[in-house]
Amino acid sequence: MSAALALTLHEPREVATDSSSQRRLFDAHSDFVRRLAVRLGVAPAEADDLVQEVFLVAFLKLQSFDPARYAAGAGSRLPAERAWLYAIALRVAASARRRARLRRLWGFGEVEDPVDPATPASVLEAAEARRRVLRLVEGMSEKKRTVFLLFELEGLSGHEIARIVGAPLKTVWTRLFHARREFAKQLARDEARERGTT
Amino acid sequence: MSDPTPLREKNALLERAAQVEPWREADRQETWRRLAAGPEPRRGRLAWLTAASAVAAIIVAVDLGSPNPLPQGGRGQGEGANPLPQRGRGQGEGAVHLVDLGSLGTLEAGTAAVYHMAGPRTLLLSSGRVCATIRHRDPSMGPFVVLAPSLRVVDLGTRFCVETAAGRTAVEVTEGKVRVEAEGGRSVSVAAGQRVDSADARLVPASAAAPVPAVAPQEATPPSCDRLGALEARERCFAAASTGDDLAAQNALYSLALLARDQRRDGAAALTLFQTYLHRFPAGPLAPEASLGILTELEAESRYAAAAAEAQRYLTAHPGENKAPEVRLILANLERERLGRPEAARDAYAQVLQGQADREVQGEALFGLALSELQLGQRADAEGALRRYLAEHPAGARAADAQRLLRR
Repeated sequence: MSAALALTLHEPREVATDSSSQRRLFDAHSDFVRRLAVRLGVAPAEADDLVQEVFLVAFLKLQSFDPARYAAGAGSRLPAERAWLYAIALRVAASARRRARLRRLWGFGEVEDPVDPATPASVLEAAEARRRVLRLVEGMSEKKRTVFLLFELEGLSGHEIARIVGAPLKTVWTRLFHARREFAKQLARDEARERGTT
Repeated sequence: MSDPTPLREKNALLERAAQVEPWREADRQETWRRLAAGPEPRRGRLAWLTAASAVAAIIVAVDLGSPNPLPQGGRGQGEGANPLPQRGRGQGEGAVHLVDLGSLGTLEAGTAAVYHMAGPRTLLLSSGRVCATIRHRDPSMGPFVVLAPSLRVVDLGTRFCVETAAGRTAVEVTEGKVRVEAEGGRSVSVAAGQRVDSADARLVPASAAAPVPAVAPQEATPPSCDRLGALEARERCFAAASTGDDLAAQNALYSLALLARDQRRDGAAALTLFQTYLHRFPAGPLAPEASLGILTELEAESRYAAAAAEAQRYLTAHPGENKAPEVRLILANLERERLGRPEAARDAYAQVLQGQADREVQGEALFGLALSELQLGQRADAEGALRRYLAEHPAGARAADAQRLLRR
């Protein structure tokens, strides 16, 4: 009951009470939601909180979830439930990013993950590469950035992205085209800067 | 049309960036535990917000569901419009002031009530008594909610009053009924003629005619809060330490807001606490920071008009602060990108450029000025701003975009 009370502080709707369906949803998708959060640029230290927030929203909306709206088309293996969670996670992550951006502007520090000395080099390299990619796409509009990251890092197809973001397939390709161009330009600039300083 | 080949297949950077280490099972289980048992950051919200509210006396969040029907900047005592005759409830009330809630109804605030319009749906009441009369409630707008120390009151179509002092809250229903929720998940329906008191651990509605027990004054707690390890202990400590009006109390209240934002990651609670600080200490030394905190959280919640209003308030109250140019830049960006007011944006950008902003802020303002001019159809002025940008910031972050716009 305390969970329901806490939720209703900002969201007066009732939480879905079927805990088994909540558990099933969490078990089936929580790993992917967290991976997505990290790929979208949420600091790993904050990713667990984001997972929690995504599932809080999902539990609230579970009863009104309409699988037909997210139904897979031909050639797609993305289940409707996961596409729906993608959409929720994108909104939650965008909100977290906006907040982080403003904090940076005001000079508040980022939340840094403590580095475990036992962390394999490959993991650190991946994290560093991700930071760099996210820095390169920082200037993109949210829409282009989302399509770029879902396609290039998350490995989703154009049809799947279109279902998740609620845009026509052509729009997805247009956004990807421009996002790639911006990425290439930023990458070239970044590499030139690196060459200039080494 | 088939999908294009992903760049990551030929770009090592993207390929590496796509690799995310597996989530540790212990962390996954812990997240589920928090979800199942009551999400920790959110579950904690009421507990420590309640404690903080003991400082602020009462926090009333009015969920109106309609765009800002209350007067903005209603800081001060009893700033309602029309004085009404005394209703004869409460102690020491000489008169009440009426606040128009639009089609929803009215809110009456006692003269001892100190309230502050914090946003289109939020009214902060620092002390005293308020009574709400809900005449027409559109279900699509959500309920009318009063958040007070120890209790949350959800209107179900009714007339009711909330009174608080020293962290203790009483709810009295005159017509209809309300749902009252307390910390720990207790919830009770209170009907007309009944009242509940947060001092009653059982939360049992009693007759409204029952005498109101005296409220004991709270004792101040000496602070050494930062040294406490557990977050909840620090919150309780800061809440207790922020009861007075001195600098230590101000620091404690501000620290509570920072804990909410940076440790709990609870933006809504942080927003409330920053607003509470500004309301209690409008000229306090941390008022500029509190105002920035409010602006940040409003923007994060996509409440752009309220964010712009807060930026404007910051600039009026703290024109000489070193963050003023950044705040004006934020205001200009909000006007242009979110509020569709390029003319206002252009003026704000121009003011940034006339001031003492640092180089990066100047560059952003110049580029924003060019975009505003373009939106206003002033192509020549826009080109002038873009050329000036390229001359002054040849390697700036917007240089490529400026060149592209000039080529169009």
